[in-house]
Amino acid sequence: MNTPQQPAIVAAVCQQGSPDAPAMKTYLASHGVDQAQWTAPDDVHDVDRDVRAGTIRRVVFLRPDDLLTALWDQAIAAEQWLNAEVRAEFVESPGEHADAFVTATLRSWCVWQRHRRRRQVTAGVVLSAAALALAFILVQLGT
Amino acid sequence: MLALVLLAVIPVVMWCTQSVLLARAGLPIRGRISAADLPRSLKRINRAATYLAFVVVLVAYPLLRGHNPLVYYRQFLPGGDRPWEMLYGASAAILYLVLLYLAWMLTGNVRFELRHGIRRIARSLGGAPLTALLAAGAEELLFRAMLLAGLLETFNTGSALAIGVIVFAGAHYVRSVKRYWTFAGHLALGTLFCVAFVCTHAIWLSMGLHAGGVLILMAVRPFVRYTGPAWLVGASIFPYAGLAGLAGLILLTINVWLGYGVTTP
Repeated sequence: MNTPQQPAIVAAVCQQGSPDAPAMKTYLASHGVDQAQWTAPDDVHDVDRDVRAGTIRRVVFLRPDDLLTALWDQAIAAEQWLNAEVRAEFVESPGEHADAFVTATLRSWCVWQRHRRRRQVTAGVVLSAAALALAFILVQLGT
Repeated sequence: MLALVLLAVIPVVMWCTQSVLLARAGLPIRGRISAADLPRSLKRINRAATYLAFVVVLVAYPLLRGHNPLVYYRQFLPGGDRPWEMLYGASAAILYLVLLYLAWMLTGNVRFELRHGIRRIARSLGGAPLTALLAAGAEELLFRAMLLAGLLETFNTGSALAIGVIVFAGAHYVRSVKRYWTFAGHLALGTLFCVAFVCTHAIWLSMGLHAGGVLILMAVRPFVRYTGPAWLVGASIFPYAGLAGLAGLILLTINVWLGYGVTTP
């Protein structure tokens, strides 16, 4: 999903060609960014890799939820981003006030937790079935 | 039927003892059986009285039928190769539970972490094997060697098994408990033990299954936090009450059935 353009110091976390892409382009143009490395939100770990390598210092997300989801998913190393003083910007700001950002953070956490729980339950059902099948066979073999 | 009557005496004794102890502690007498707010020393007396009631009933049953208790229970603990059934049962129960916990841990449905201090965990783990043996031994003597064996003399196998299972499951709810949705798990558990007894006409196998299960539950309890939904993984010491646990009990019952079949006593 990456479109590396050296030297790329700005990353735009947005799927090229998606309905959100025009808003991202407008934002980048209005903030004086001529060149950016476009990365789909699902591939944000690529941005993290470039942050660690020191080639990215500025990351533009569509909305705070994209950054938070990457954090919850552990797709980015928050400490390294802080140490590298990475500047995170959002095309859609959560609002002027801190409480708006807190609400956005909590909402993002809840949505992420719901998705994670669903994934865990599905995986739990599948792996439980596998474990039970294995136990049944082993006990039967031992009889 | 005598076994059923004697079993019914136990909750009566438990309630009477509790009432005496509550009165002694200056607390109001209540209908439900729960020692929750009794002082610790009185709780100990209450527990001892319950165990004593178990022993009295176990001894009284064969005596009232004109049998020597030792001879009566000895018939359900045959020698030769038969004690190996206990090892088989314990291994099977442990295998099922360990694989299930592993599956749940890998998928984030349980979390393994220290829930208590090291000293408390060491004490709890140290006592687990003996507790598992004693709990399984007492319950198997009471519910299989006494109750189910008695029911099999009066009813056909299916009816005896059904009554034996329901009484076993119900007995776990005589005292006040936190959860009642675990009843289906106790029914499945009772079915496993009763089928094991009916198949072998001995308590070695059911005692092994029972002890193996209790051992694992006690061993993992200080480390396990359930994070998955209760309908899947159960809760607390009831992993067998969730869907996966119930499926495991059904499969283990089939294992026992396939492995031992039915032997006519």
